[in-house]
Amino acid sequence: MSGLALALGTLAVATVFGLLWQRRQGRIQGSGQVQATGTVPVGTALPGLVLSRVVTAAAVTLLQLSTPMCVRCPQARALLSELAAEIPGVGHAEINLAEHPKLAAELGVRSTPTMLAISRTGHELFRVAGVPRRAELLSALQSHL
Amino acid sequence: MTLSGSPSPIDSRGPRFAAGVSAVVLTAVLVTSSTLLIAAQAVVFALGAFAGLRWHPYGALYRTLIAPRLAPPTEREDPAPVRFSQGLGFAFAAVGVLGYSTGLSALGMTATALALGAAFLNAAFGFCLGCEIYLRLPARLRSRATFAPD
Repeated sequence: MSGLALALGTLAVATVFGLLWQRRQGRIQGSGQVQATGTVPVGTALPGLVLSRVVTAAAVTLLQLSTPMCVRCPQARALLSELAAEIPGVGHAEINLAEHPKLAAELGVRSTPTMLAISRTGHELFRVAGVPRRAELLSALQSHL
Repeated sequence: MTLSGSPSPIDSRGPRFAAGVSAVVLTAVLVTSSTLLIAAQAVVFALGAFAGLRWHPYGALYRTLIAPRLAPPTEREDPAPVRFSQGLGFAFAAVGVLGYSTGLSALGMTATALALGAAFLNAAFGFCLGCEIYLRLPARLRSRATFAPD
């Protein structure tokens, strides 16, 4: 009987964890403070590789960090390239982390897709882990355009 | 190219289905305290981890019975993290076998419950705990953790 109780308890704990994880996916995170999880100090410019991908004509570059077979990267790519095409001042770029393994640690990125919103001056405005939620991303972008 | 160099991506619904079956079996193990059942599940994990995902019994079930009835996959993923997570599942199931067979039922139950939690998270939420651990391994450990080519 205690085995059944343990099974139910385990499923309950896992459900709580799963719901919390799901709620965080695609949400706007921080303005800069999330960068603190990486090795690049908050408030300083991002690594040169990232800066080289910033779309100079855009006020905000949505930089997607991907790996070759990540499950949700194509979905994120479709959304971000669509936004870049629709909204003046928004650019889209993508970096394959498999080709730049050190970059993930520098930026504190622990899963793909992760999207960094980067200002024209090369600073991180906010980030989203997972596929961004369209409406939330649009409202977060408003104040930077 | 892939992080691991594995040749072919897999339909990501397969591992999720397999995790669901594993979760049902692991729940049955906790309820029945059956050494035989946890041993069988350990063999299933071992086949997926060491022989390759194509030898995984639940994966084969998915490919032959379920996949033909579904639309073609829209999401594919690298098999290496999935195999690594099967290896972790095997480690916990092996401890479970040890616990249940030697009468250390608390050990058997704890190991089985941990494996159940991970399998359920994958099946219900698409969160693969073993894959997350794999992706955080330093690159040199990662290639070591990847077994024979799939």
